[in-house]
Amino acid sequence: MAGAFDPTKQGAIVTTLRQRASFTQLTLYYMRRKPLGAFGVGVVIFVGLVALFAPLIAPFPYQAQDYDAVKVAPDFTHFFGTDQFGRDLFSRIVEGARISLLVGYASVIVGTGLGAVLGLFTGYYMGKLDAIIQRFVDMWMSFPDLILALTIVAVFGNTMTNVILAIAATIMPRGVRVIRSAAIALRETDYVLAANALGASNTRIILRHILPNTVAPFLIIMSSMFGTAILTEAGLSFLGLGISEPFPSWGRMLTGTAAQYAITAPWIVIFPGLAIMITVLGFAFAGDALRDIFDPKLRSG
Amino acid sequence: MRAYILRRLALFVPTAFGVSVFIFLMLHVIPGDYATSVLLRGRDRTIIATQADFDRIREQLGLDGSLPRQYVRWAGNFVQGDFGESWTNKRPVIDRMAPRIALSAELAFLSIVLAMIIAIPGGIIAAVKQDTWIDYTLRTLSMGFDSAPNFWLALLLIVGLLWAFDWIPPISYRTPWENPWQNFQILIFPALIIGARSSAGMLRMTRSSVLEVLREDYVRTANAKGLARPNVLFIHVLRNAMLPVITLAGFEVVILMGGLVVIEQVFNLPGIGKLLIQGVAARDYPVIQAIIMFVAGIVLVANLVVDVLYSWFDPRIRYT
Repeated sequence: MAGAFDPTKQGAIVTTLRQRASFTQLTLYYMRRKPLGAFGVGVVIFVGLVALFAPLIAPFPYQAQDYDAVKVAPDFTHFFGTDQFGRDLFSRIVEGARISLLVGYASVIVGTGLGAVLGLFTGYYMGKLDAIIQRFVDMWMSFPDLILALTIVAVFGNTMTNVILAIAATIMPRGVRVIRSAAIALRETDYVLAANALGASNTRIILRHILPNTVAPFLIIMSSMFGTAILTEAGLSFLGLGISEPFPSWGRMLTGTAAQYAITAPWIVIFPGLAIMITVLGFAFAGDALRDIFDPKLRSG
Repeated sequence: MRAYILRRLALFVPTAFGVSVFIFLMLHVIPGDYATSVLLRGRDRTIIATQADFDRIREQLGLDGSLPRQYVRWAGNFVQGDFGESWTNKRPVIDRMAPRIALSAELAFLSIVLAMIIAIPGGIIAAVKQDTWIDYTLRTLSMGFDSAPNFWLALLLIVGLLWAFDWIPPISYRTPWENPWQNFQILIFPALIIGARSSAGMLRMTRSSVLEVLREDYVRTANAKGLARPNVLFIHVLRNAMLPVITLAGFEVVILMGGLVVIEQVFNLPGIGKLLIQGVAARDYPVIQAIIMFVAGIVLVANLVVDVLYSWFDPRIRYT
């Protein structure tokens, strides 16, 4: 055993050391340190599972109308009551989780992804192109999220793809900003200078040295944009520009006639809104905790 | 200072130009030709038009000539206050917008004032009482306002008012000159909803900013030399803590504009936001175009003002 230096053995030691803090222990550690973050992650997982198994969870088909049970108050058959058409609200909200999460994830991935690619290159190369793209970002950000999204949907039509792309368009400039500033900071680091001095190509430096170090800000911006994406989708649906029927969307459940029944059947209004709020809150808490764990510098208060 | 303002203005011009080009091009990417879609508005949605009709309509809509030429004409008219003609009622867009701008501006102003009344004292209290139940309550509330869809809060508020006081805000809008009391009754609740949303981010920003300044040496010195607590807070802390809040207030203008669109819809207020939704529903592109240009213009000007204010508060900015 004793004697020669054995790199494989050393690797093994590092692995065992790493494994000592097991996944469960780490989870428990963070749960104790960040109770709100743990709550947020819990909500995110819960909503994700609900969306995944929606058809199994929903006791009624979401579009089934039962005119013998119109505006029934919440009870053990209809957990959240029924709406003005006798549709089971619980089933609709469960099904609506699919739309919200799908639109949320897809638009955040497309938006931050495109933004990150742009930010990475313009931040690394700087120069004229960067200045021009920054003007575009400024310009893009002078349109309020909802107004930009609804214009895009109004011009191109409200299909699922267009809604996702419209919301992604509102997210993209923020992705550019965050990843660009990270890339600018990274290009000044010693290891990038060293790689440059060794003659590494720009592509290699970007892929090997800059990209891996932007993962943390990337995840942070992704998680913080998720709530915004869901809220924008809800706003679009509320204004009648979201994904169209028959898909139940949380935002659209609150639109038009729902308000008329708010007094006689308040559950029609309360539950879809609660669903949006809890989901967005969950992502916000999870995102904050993620930011604190990844980037202690950004910790506030 | 003047040099900084000039430099900042020099940045403003290309951005405004870019925005206008983007909005101009939007009109040209509508699936199908703009003139065709006008002709398609005939009764049976078939085209029974000759080439001459197309040409005539293109000319009426300002769509003849090369793209840059069209842009120059459009932008030139726009700068002079001619926003084109609404498709739905053939009236100049500016005439449809003008009476509504006052309402939206009043609502926006009330909302900002309410947001600040909530956020700044709230943030200071949360910071001073850090990690007490007051702090936690305020932060949880602000996270809640950030996460709840504003139209939902508005619906709950209307229902709540009806349920608790058997009262809802007056239906028909009155300008403050006609009937100030009714105007106030109509606008205060929408403003409260928009303001609460804007106050959420501002409250947390004020809190963390105040917390940061509270740890500064000069605050410790002020405390050590026996300055009364309120004096320390107002003279030393607030002045320095307000900078990031001002910046955020600039960003809030963008959020506020989005809030107007939704909240005017919920409360049925005839403002700019409501007109935008009507324009979208009727596919009235000149109206949509004009309103978006207007909104983007306000946001750009707000950013400019914030930057200039910021450099006035913090001279270091001017030299970077």
